[in-house]
Amino acid sequence: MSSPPLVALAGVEMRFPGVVALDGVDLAVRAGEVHALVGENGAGKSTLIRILTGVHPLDAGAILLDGAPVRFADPRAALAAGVAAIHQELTCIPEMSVAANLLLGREPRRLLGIDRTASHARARAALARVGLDLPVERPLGTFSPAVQQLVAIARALDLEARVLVLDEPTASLDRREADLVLRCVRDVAARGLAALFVGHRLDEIFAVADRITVLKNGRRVGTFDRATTTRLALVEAMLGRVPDARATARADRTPAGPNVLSARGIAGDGLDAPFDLDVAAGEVLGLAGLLGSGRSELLRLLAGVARRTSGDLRVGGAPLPAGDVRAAVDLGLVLSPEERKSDGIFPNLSVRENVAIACERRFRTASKARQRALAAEMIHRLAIGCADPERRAGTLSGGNQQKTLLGRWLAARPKALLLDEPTRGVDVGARAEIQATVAELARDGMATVYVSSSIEELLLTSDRVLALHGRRVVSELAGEELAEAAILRAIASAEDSAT
Amino acid sequence: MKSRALPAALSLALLLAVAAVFVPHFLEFDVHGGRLHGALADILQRGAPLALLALGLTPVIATGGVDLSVGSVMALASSCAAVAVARGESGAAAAAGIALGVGLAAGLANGLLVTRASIQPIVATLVLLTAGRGLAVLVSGGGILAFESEGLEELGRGAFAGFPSAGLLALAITIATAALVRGTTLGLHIEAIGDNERAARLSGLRVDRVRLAAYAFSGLCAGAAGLLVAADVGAADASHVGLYQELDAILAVVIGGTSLAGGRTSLAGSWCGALAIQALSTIFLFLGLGTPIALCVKAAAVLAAVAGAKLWTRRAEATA
Repeated sequence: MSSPPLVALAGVEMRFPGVVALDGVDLAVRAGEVHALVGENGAGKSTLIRILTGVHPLDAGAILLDGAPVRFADPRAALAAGVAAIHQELTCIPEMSVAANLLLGREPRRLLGIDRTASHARARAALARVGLDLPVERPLGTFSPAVQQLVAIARALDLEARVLVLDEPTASLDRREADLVLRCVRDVAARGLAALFVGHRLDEIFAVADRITVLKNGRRVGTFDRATTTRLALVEAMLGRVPDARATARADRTPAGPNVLSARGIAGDGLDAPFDLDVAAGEVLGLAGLLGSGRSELLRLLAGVARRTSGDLRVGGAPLPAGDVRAAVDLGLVLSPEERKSDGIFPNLSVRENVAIACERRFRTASKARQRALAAEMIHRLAIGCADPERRAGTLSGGNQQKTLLGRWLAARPKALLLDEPTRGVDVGARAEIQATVAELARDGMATVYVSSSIEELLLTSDRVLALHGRRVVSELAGEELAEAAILRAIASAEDSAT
Repeated sequence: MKSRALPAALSLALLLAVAAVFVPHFLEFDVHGGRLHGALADILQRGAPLALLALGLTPVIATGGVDLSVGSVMALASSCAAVAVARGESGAAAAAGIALGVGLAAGLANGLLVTRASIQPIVATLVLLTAGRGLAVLVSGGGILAFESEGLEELGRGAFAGFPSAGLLALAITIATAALVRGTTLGLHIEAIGDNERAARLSGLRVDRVRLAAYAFSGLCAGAAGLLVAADVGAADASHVGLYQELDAILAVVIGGTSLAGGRTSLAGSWCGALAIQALSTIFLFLGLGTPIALCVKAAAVLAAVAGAKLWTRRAEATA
């Protein structure tokens, strides 16, 4: 395996306002290799793919194809150079035939229109390269998602792609279908293509990849050979090492009070296995797990955003009806969602309105003075970096938007706080401030459920940690067990037992 | 934020100022029958139905929707009211109740299609755009249905302190609605839903109820507009009342500073926008120019408004 890389990224940097998305990342994919790219949300995977496929121009660094630097003005240029992208969502046209989808825009022509015989023959030949034999005149939408994904790969091959960039190609597939796609990726690579495979299911990564590169916070943590690495090592690389000075910020915790949040046999969208959960006043319960493990889904179930199919949920002793976000807010159970931009912030409304809105959810007379007082209180308390509460929230930095969101909920004086990655995409200073606020709230009796993909952060903030895997709660760690190694083992061993 | 209505108000003022200078006799007025007559009074009077449509449409658009059915609902409401009066079964008050009731029912139907059946607003309200006019023709039996009612005539052509009462009524309703929306948390709810519906749900807002109310209010306003038109003319013309008025109303709302993408909104701006559109028509009438030219100028106004909105959002994004 000493062949020179077919495609390589050297010192790639990418900056967005206020965020360094990629910071000097190197990556090399050889011909005949499946190279997996893993990392949590915000690690920089998507940005890297967009750079490689010509969607984003890069700020610094270089793309090397066959050792020579190239620049892609747009995805068409990348495709012309032989770099093809296969996306997570199926990008075919379901009503059109398999052949038409395969040859879209490149149909063999004759005097009048498309030469059907020729295009069917060519489509069949292209499909054969991925081991498919289909009636190519049938609409693509009538085939399974896995077949549609294979057709996308066949199309890339027919376009003479030499580098396949697969962005979570199995995300919408079940296990058996995913196996089909994985096998195809291996076969295609074996014929001399370079495949970059982005995914987050570790069993899939181990099944398909020759080498695995781990990204974290826009940096490359390391590249591992599948043959010599372990799941534990990968998980550790993805979720990060705790510095030696172990965080003991939680040691001074007063014992927890009565149960605020109490769930019995809860199941629903995204979490099939019923689970129990208790959070006491003054307690911070951490949720650990890889991306896709069900940690966000658990919060969404509790908050009533996702459909709950069974189980009983009580907030401060009062039963909460299923799927009623407003009832949850009324009872004092609130969710700060992971997707700050799409689910949290009102970008065109002012900071004042963003903070006050949960308090103003009822129909009543509006008082700007009241709203301004709330906003001023939260700006001061959470150190939101905005001098003018009338500023549009969309113009704030990520950290300040997150604080604004936190302020919205604190203003509503909840009993239980569900925080989904409250420090994602937030700079170091704001991260520490948000964590300190969570600790302070706990001292005042708040019950908190804290989701983070950083083990370090969970250890810093949590009294207890639930580990999730495969959309179920697999273990609980508290007290002496609460250490980085134990959490990693809980997540990783669950990975092993699931395969 | 207070300045959102400002561009529309300035456009209206500018339009009137230009007309005052270049259009002969534009500012002249006389008084007979206890009422002012002249171009300005005419704009206030004839612009009233459009102003009502735009008023109703504003919360709908601000919550990220649209109501294409307002013109047809206007026709349906005016036909129902006219039939009731023509048969001699009801007085002016009952006829008004019927028109408003019909509008409210139509608005509720739109709202339920959008919120309960989760149909896209443009499709959901297209149903009543077509069906509403068909029903209106059916109800009135086709053709023009004339009626006599002193009460309605007073509403349509009467005057209050010398000013045309229909115009004053539309203005008063606009002011009252603005006071309700701005004086309560409703305004914040409407803008929040338009800006980010998912976040609004998570914040505990009754998203569906607010949107349903917006469509119901739009229907109610369309009913009121239909009533005014019927009262003004003393007849209902099911095939022509409100025809293409939904487009003018949308235009008025956009000129008024409400974004078609939802979010920030201004009821006063919509009123100014509606009057500006009416002022254009009246000016062309004064100049003796035909409808084709008026339509072309209106199209130019649409382009200018859309380009302005684009610039506005681009500038907003640039500062983000």
